[in-house]
Amino acid sequence: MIIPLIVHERYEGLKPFINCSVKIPNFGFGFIEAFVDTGSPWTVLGPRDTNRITGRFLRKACSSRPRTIQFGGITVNGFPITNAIFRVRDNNNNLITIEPKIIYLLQPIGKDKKRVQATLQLPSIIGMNTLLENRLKFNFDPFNKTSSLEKV
Amino acid sequence: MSLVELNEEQELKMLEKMEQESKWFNSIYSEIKEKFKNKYIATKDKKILVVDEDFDKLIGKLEKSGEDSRLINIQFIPSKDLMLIL
Repeated sequence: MIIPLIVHERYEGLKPFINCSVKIPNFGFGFIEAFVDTGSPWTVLGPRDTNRITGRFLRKACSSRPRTIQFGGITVNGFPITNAIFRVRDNNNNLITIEPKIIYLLQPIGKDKKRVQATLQLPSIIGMNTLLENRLKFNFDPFNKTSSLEKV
Repeated sequence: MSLVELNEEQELKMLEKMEQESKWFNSIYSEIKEKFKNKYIATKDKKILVVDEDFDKLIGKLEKSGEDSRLINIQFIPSKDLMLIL
């Protein structure tokens, strides 16, 4: 089973992205585009995706004790969620469920407008925890701008 | 805002649509990145719906026009000097 990724040129480099649905039971559902990053140990919903997906349940979804996370040079709060469900489309048009044991919902620390705006620019990330737990191998060809995840 | 309920077939179609939307945005990215740098862009059906430098305002505009932001492709165009090393 192969899950094709889309390679975008963003933030001065080629980066592989995946389109997925995200369901956080009781808190929300929606669609996101996430950056697949083998350099990140964790899977996170960026602040703007967190806001969009959880909507009016944002406060409830982010009520657990946060972990401080350094992300792209910005320090943010990461609220753990242990029951998120991601779904993606494979190359045979099947719906594939990916269930990380934990993800973090990112939110800015404090209310400083500049800091909040900078934090909102951060993307969502599918990190190594999700790849390892779901036995997904990462393929990346920067010359042909192709990338995929493959179940092993 | 109620939780979106989609069956598997609808979810698959929506994922395919979002992928097409991402690919389309990628194809116009180099043309628009200067014009819209540091802005959020909401797209639907391969058209730019709303542009704003403030994310909350963009969401507000989408909701005002009857769109559900959870089902919309929203991209951010970083300024030229922003290099993201994670």
